[in-house]
Amino acid sequence: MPKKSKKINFEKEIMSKIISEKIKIKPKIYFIFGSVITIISFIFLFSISVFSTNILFFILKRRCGIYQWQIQNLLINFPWWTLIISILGIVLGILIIKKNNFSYKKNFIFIISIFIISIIISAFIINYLNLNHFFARQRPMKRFYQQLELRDKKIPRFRGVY
Amino acid sequence: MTPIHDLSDEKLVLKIRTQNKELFSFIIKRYQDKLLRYALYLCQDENQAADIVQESFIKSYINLNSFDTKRKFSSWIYRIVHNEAMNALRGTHKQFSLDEDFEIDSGVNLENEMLQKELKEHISLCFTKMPIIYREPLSLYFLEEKSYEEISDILKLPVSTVGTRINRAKILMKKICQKNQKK
Repeated sequence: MPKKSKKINFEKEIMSKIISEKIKIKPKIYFIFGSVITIISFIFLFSISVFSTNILFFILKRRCGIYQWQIQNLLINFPWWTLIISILGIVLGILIIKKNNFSYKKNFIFIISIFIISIIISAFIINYLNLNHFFARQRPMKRFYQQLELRDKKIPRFRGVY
Repeated sequence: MTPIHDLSDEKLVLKIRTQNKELFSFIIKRYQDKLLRYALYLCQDENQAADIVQESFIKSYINLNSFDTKRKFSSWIYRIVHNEAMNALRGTHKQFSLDEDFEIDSGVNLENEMLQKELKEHISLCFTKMPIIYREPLSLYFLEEKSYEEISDILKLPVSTVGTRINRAKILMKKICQKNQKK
């Protein structure tokens, strides 16, 4: 059993710091700002992840047909940078949540599972609704889809495809 | 108007935030002994425990605006002490390992009244020999009289895991005590 602790005057020690304003309560805005950053990071991460997964579905469907896909094509065409940004985003998001919510219980496995499932479902819906054709005509994404198209022409076709 | 002494922790926190920061002294009075005892069970060193508690009070005051007053303040502040203690233990590499070769000797009579006083001290000694993952929920449940739900909030573990750990801790405690008694 640990030895009985000697009586320490916490009240005097801490209250003197509070009264002299050596320690101050962080303003509410600090925590609101933390939550906003977390939400923005997650929206950003979610969008990137949905986009990456959607591109994956798009490449699979477009290039080889869903049952005849070739790993090689996928590896060449996959926009790996989005994956790297997504992973960095996940790490950043978790760090922000842990920093700002150090005292409440969070079921991270549940949150991450829901997050991954919703990414796959959203990406599938985007692909199913053919929204890639719409994105391909819009300004920010036009170039990306054009590059994809160019690469598509350079890579030799496999027999039985198209 | 309700006197300060009768206010709940959560209402007191609201007052500290909005009206009078000096009321934090009531929080210190309410929790200093409990938190010190809890920290002492975790780190086994009175000076380190005092540092942990002091740091926890300071952290809780600084972050008081992040506390959700719909939740239990005690779970929140215990969680802060837990985090501080874990950081301190990580820093000093102070971990109490468990000898896995314990044997249960059912012939030892733990209920014997003659031995009660001696056993109390003996049990306390056994307690310190338990690994921290069992010592912590056990101390919160039996010594701090927290519910499974509160322990779950403090340790960020599912309620079922808390139950399992407490049950295992009881078995382990018995084994350790019986082994020590034989010596």
